[in-house]
Amino acid sequence: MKYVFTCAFVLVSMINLAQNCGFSLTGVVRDEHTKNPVPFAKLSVESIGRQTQTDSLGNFTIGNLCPGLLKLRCIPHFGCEPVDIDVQIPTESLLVIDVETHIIDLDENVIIAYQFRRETQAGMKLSVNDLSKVKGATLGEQLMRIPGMSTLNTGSSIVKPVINGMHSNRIVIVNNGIRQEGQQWGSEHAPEIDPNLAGNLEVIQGASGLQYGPDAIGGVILVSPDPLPYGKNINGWLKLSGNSNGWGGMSSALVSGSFKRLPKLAFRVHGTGRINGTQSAPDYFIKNTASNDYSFSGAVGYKGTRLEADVFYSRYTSNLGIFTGSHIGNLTDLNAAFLAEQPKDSGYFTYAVEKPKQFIQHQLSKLNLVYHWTEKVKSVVIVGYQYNLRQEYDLHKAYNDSIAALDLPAFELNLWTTSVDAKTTVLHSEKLKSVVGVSFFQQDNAYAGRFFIPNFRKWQGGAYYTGVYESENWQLDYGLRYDLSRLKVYKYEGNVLTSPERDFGNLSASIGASRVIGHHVIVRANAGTAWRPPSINELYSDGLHHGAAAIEVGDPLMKKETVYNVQAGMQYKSRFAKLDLSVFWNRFDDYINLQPQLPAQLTIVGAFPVFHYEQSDVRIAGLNGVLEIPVQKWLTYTIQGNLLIADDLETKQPVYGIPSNRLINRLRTGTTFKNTAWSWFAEAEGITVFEQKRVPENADYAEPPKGYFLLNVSVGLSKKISATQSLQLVLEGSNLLNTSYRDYMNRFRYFTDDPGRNWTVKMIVPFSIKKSTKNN
Amino acid sequence: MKIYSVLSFSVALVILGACKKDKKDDVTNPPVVNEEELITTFQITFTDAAGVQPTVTAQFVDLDGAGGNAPTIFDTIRLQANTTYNASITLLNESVNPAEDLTVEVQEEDQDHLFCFSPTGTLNLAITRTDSDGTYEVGLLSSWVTQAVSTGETTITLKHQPGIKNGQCDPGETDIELTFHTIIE
Repeated sequence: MKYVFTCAFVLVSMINLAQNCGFSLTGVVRDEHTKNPVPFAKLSVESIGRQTQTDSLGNFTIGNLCPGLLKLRCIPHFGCEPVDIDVQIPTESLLVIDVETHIIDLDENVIIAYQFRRETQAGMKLSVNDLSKVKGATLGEQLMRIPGMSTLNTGSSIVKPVINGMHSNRIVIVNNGIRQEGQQWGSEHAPEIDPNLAGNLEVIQGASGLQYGPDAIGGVILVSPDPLPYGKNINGWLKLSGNSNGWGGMSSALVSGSFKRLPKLAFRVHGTGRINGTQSAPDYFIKNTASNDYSFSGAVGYKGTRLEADVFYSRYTSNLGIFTGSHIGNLTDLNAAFLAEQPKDSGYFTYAVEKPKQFIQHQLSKLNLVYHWTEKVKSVVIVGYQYNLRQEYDLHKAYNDSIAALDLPAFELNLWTTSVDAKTTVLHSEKLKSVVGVSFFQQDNAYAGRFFIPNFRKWQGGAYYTGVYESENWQLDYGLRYDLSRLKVYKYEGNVLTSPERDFGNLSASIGASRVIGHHVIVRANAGTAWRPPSINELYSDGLHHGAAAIEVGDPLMKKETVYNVQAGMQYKSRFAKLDLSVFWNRFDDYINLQPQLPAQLTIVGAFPVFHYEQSDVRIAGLNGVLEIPVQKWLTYTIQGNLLIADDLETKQPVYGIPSNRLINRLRTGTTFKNTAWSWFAEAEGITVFEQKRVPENADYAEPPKGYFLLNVSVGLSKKISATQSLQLVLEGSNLLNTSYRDYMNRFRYFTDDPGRNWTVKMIVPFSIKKSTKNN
Repeated sequence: MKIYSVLSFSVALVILGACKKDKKDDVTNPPVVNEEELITTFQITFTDAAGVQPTVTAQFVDLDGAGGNAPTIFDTIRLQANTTYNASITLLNESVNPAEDLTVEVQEEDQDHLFCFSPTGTLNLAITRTDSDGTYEVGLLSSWVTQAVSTGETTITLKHQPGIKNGQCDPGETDIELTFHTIIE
């Protein structure tokens, strides 16, 4: 399956007349985008129980066929979805069939058994432009449909994705082929990414994750735009949405294409603007929760027979109001806030982002080079440059007028990252592929204002090998990686500038196998190890964390954190049900966690609890499951749940800050209107979030909030315009019962309820600039 | 063709990269700690309104701010019984040289600030604020009236109440909260 991107097969068939039962069917399987043949694609002729495979040029022939209806089937193997194609034998007409497949290059992660994680409903991949399935405005919210995902929130505008209870430094976000490098260690630092640019959002675990670094302990989130459309017409889409809670609006547009005279060149331009006013809980406005963000990106590329090259630039800017009531002076304020039924400062509606607030900017430039040495060997080099600026403003302006007049942020962090990644993919045979690669980055951090983390310079380099072996029923994937990391810190000890240095290095590995059993079941098991160097805040933070009302102290002698994990899962799919179940077990050595210390520390602002970053051995285990039952042809019932257990093996206490268990019940109905391209859907969803009862003693100011139930509905209409594009209009209601609730994973649970009911209208309008003459 | 493409892409990348503001030199040259504005020192001075008893001063000093080293001075307030004291508060930033007087800044923004005094019930002490921002009291100046000999705690709080000051201690963010051991002898 070489060089095939998310594509549609174009199957051209020709029927040759011969004797009775001597008909034959020949055709070719081609990549929709490049029109290159797809070798070794597997097809079966269901009606007569035969199988065939395309040759190295993508051609196939099935001989000795009798007249009548022939059912051709794309075999539910690692390469494609089980789609049936009916052919009337004999026929002279040209048969063109689009089959949605999700095959991606090896180096873009096919290593995990494809079927296992790519089921549209139960899978780990989401199409962002499918408005009927994707909810919310932020990356974290949009990923929620994937089993095992949850979010860590700070208020309603800062949302971080959580995979199986792990977040921040324990997951890697890959934006357009490059590791996103921001201040991701902070739990109130959301990923600086506009999900609208992405065609797909995907969560990967196992060997293929090794390509992106050693530290994808929880997994890798891939945010990938669609490939540049070489040789295609100019087209794009406009996405608009408006929502009632906060009276917000979003508009996003993307144009991409290629020029007729220069089919080897392609471009893509994208922009998004979003604004939201003060949000409200069921009973009150949540003061200062307005936010806005803007993003822009552009890419141009060249694709020749051997060489592909493209450049990409994106810029993301965000202004976030931080709920005023969370900015507390000391523990007394915090206790008072917690006892209060609702925040003391009543809010009002405004679009203005007032203090306290965050201003964030992220820029990414990237050069991507691909060279095809032969049909079976290709190399990719990605050079990236990222600049991340984070400014946090306190509620309190400075006492000194001349300082106050400057309106400086309380602190500012600048982070520059230069990275180089190179890898070579080799297709040894139709069954065996491997990727070997190296990666390196250098990072510089400089702060201004209040000290929170010191300036540092970091170098990290690694080399890896991953491979996949596929046979008819088995798939085996494996990978090995070694990394070295050096961190040099520049800080004052008293009045002396010191620059301590820490080196870390370790091996990461993963091995997994999956097996297809019969036509309906795939089972899979995976084992691996990953590690991460301690992050800068875990080593050197020393001071008051405003908003958390805690003094956080790092440990400069912190060791690396290592995890050993085992996962097992099964997938069942038939016309009666679809089931996806997985269990996982992670054992951490030297898991880094904040631990409460006694006594509280006295300061001029009062007493504060003290937390130290400490290491201990921890176990995180859990279960994710989705069961989908087509009750009627027009009605589907889905139940999705996840369970997490996390324990500190040394203190014999549960780990702090693990998402509560949740259960989602969903009913969905919808059909296509007869003889039209129009279809509709309606969906009702009940989300039950249980109370987190497994919490450590004395590590929190208050009991975790009670469990809650939310009802969401959505209805939508869509018109298919081409194989990949549809016009869509969706109305969505979330928290329809206007339930007052607080979530354990929201850091503002001490201060305020989560937002109440919200209606959203959203639409996507695809367009093309020239009338399409080619098949899309 | 190929070479030119690669070249032009590289040039484009360099141009994009060059647009960034570059402060990388700052990395190896971090700001000196505690450059920011800090209240390191809280001072309250008591003078006998009748001019009989000696003047008393109590201090809290934490030169490196919250976290880091523990406070260096945290005095006990010792007042004579049956005396009326005029108290005045001084706030300093002694982490810079010369020390910065932040009392003036609070005075200038007195409509945003309020000091609150709450002695524990065991103390025979009555405290009233004696200054005003025009509408509400401020508390930089106050009157402390002692009676019989007793001991207890007095909590002194500075609330920052921009636009929400209503004369009560409730609203706003706490800038200072100190609980002084208090002896009336």
